[in-house]
Parts: sequence; structure tokens; C-alpha cells
Amino acid sequence: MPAMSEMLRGVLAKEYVECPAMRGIAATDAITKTIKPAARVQLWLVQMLLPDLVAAIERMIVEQADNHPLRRLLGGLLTYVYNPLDLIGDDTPLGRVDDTIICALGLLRGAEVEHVELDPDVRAMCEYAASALPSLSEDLNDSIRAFVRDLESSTRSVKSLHAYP
Amino acid sequence: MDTWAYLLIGLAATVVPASALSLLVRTENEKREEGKLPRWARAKNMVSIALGGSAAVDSLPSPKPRVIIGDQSGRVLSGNQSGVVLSRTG
Repeated sequence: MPAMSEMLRGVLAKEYVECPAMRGIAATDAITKTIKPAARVQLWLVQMLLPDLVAAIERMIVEQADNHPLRRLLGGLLTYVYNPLDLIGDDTPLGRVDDTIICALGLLRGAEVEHVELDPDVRAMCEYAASALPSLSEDLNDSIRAFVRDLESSTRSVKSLHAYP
Repeated sequence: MDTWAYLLIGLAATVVPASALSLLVRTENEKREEGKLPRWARAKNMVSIALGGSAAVDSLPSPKPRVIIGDQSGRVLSGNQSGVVLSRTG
């Protein structure tokens, strides 16, 4: 399981070499209307948190082995990260921004609903990533919120395979 | 002269249809890209994909701690024999 967060670290490092921050920040125009430089830099930085958030998700999947609704939600988040054809295609310079914000919102939502204590550093990372959400364009913002809400409600309503002995 | 004629026929039968087909597929793909789904609809599709993955992750076995019991000499015991815990993993 931890292989995915390690793989993401490598992928992001390679992407950084190919498209360093100064060029990547300029690419934020494609996904946001904001002109504030600080918001553009934040959007670029947010995607660097993805490997750590994925590592936190992987740890929670192992630790919360008996919490099936939470495990399903976390599994859904990992599947989203794996899928390259998502809301912002992963082959673009800011392709991991949506994955990062969705992981952050999903972790916060899962911890809140399932009354699970998040590690303070993980919580801080999630809150930082979630604070970049208003900088995105309106349709992207709505789609991300809708995805997390629908995933959370769907994973809660699905009956676990573990319910059948 | 015959060689050239065969070559031309060969080209007409292979390269030309292949190129035409490739162009056709490319144009069709570009058209689809233009008329791609709005983001909210893609988010809905994404949920159904993610649900498949979530079921797969939830069905992973939970790691249970494993205890190996042995005697003082380090010999691993089995059944109901009592002994000392040699290792605890998981």
C-alpha cells in the first residue's frame, strides 16, 4: 500500500523538473479566474501535499480496519487519485490540484463523520489544501464539493461485503 | 514498368486506406474532445468509478497481530502447549 505515496513523490519530482514553479504558477490561469499572486502560488504548492495525504489515507486504511464506511470512503479517494482522467487531467501542470483538495476534503469529512482523531499535522495539511478551494473556478469548486459529498453518502449507504459472513 | 504498377496498386490497397482511416479516427476523437461532458457530469461519473475502488479497498483483509509461541529454547510450539511469546507482528 505505501507504494502509491512513494510513487507519487517520484512523479511530482519529475513533473517539477519538467515544469518548475514559475511556469506552473502561470498555468493556474486555466483553472481559476483569480489574479491574486498569493492564491496562484498556493494552488501550485497545494499539489505538493498529495503524497503525504495519500500516505495518511494508506495509514488510516490499515489502522481503521474495522471501520468499514471510513475504509470505503478512503478507498474511493485513492481510486480518484489513481484515475488520470479526472476533473483536471493529470497530464497538465496543475493536474494534481483536484486530487489533493479531494483527498483533503475527504479526510476531513471522514474524520468528522466517523469521529476519528486526525494527526494534527495531517489535519493542518488538509485544512491548507481545502483553503485553496475558493481560488478555483466556480464549476470546478462545485464539482469537487459534489464529488466528496456524493462519495461520502454513497459509501455510507452501500452495504459492506463484511456484513455477509 | 510492371513493378511500378504493382507498387502503386500495393500502395493504393494498404497505405492509402490506412492513412484515411487514421485521419478519420483522429477527426472523430477531436470532435468528441470538443463536445466533452461538463465538469459536474464528469464528477458524477467519477463517483461510480470511485465506488468500485472503495469496495475493493474495503474487502482487503485487516492486518491481524500474529503471535508465535515457543519454549525457552526457542522451539516453536503448536496446539495447546503453553510457552513464551517469541515474536509479535502486525
